[in-house]
Amino acid sequence: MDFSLTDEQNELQATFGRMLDEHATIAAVRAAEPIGFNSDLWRRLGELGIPLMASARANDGAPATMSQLIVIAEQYGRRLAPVPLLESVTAARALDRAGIDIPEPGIVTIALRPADRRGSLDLLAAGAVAAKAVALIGDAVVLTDLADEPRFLSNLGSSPIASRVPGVQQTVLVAGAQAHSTFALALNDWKVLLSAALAGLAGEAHRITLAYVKERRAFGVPIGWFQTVAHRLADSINDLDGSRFLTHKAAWAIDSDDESADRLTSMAYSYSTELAQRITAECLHFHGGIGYTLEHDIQLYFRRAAAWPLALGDPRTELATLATRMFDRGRS
Amino acid sequence: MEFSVPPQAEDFRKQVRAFFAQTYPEELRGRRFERPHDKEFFRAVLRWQREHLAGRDAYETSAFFQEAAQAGIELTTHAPTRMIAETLEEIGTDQQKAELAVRMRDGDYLIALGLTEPDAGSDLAAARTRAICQGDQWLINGEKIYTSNAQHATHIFLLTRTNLEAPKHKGLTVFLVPVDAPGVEVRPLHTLAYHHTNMTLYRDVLIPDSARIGEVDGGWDVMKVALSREQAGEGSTDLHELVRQAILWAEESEAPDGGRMIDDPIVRQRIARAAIDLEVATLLAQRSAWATATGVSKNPGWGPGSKLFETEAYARAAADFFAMVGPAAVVPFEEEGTVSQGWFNYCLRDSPVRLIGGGVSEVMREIIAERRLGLPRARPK
Repeated sequence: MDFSLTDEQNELQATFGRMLDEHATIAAVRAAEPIGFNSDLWRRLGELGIPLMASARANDGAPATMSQLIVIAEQYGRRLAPVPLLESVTAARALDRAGIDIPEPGIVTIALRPADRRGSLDLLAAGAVAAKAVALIGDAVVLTDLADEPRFLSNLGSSPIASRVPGVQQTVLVAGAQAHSTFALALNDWKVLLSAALAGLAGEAHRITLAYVKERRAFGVPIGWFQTVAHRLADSINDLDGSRFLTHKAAWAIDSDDESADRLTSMAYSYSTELAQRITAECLHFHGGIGYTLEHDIQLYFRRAAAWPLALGDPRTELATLATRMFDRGRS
Repeated sequence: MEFSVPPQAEDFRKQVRAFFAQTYPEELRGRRFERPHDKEFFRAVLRWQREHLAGRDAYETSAFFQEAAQAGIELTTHAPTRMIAETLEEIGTDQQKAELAVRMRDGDYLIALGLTEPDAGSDLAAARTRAICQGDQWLINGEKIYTSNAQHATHIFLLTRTNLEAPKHKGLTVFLVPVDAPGVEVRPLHTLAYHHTNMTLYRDVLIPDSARIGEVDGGWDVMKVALSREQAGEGSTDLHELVRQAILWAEESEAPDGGRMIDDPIVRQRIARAAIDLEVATLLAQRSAWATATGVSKNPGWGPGSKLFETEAYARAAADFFAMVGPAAVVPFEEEGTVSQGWFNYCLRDSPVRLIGGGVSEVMREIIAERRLGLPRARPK
């Protein structure tokens, strides 16, 4: 048992943290709104190995582990980086499991929800910038072209989502009975990566707010002096530890093929999505009126904490998934 | 980070289970809510802890306490004794280390904490129990409240005021007072959670200077050491057992539609929610135990954070499960027709105690706010 980051994790945190500090500044994040994509930043991430590092085939059988990828995802969340990092990494891992190289050029995303009845990938995550998608279509997981031109859609999370239609060029990754369980592995990856991103995002909102409540004075004292503010921030930092540890443990379980991987993934996802929404709402609130102006940055975190999980759907349903994973083992 | 369960941890768990199976007295079994005390068992546990628990990692430490909880064994008497033994080992005189700490580790002595007072509450340093130096003796007068386990104790770790002129934290001194010293009186104070705690009264109690721990007027420094030993990876056993009981109940209970409660979508999600909290509570407690075991410097907010999270989650789950199991939840364990041997009834009664004892939630948040977040201190010194 070890609650400190490994040397590799520290190195990734420093490398990606530094790059994102420099290039995913708040100004850059705002400039990328509303589409939520910065091609220069995406190129730089590519130079650091995103998403190729997640592929065993591209790394002589030694890809970055989930435990390493979540460290990057946490930095991505902390900086609200306007790039489809989670989706491209999830897709890379899904392709890798099927023994397929990551196609180039162009971004490969993951369709988190199955195609709708008309065959359309509705509000596809990274759909506005992706060339291809890993998707569950019928009873097959496929790598599909995206046929139509993306129609950009402004949205609360400033994410590059767009509804797309799968093209005729499709490579089947897995078909038949295994398709759904294989796809669930990809969803697990994305859920754990998003949990990490939200821990990073909420942690940054907390940091900004902490500095603000020490500085901002009302009634002759810094507002952080008031216990109703201080105690909620104390609860939040404690709960954030919980979110990070659950996420790290889930990543560890996925990496080590532990039987707890499904259960821990659902725990991390359920807990982190709810917590990030609560913390960012509190953080906005502690800023007072300036917090709900568009001028202030705190609303950037509030919006994304609520919006990002919706790429998959209502995060509250994860509790039902968790219950299934806890109580329905060996029954079906 | 690394979470694998080392192979020896499961062996250790079996060892613990065997130890409890062998030593827990037959007549105490099934009486989990009354906190029965047995001297021989107390001694056996402390000796076993000394021989087998020292130096164990976070998994093994928590396995010990989980196994106890699962077997219905109450270990609340043990923690203060271990905590004060550790305190003496760190700051006691050579004589205290040799004579007192060793006998605590042997389980010959049982220590109760005489800290708070009727008018002090969480403000421990406001203690007014007076100790006056008389040559090489001290004369003690005053009263303490919530001196839990004093009815079983050999000694009370007593926080007194020795200097009325000095600032609040600088005029305190700690003594280890034998419970059988003339003038010490233990009066029971019955609680919602079946067990009783105590008032302890001190009337002209005379004790030798050798019973003093730490410096004269240096009691607050002693308290800091003692309180830092309070949290040692024991966390989350109450919540662990509560969630386990809820799962057992749901698997065994019939739903109105003839199915099992565990298949009811609302019931299973309520239990799943508490299971997440349990996982978080366990990780926070393991982080503290990991830091202790490896000597990693601890953030001052970690221990309080672990206590805060676990007890708050326990109280939430206790309230939720009490309602979930239905009308028979109101029937206590000693009556017929109770549900799950009265477990949910007991936890509901017990949860307010846990939120307050061992450091009330608000003080835990204060410590985190002040010492981890660097926020201005709101409470007066």
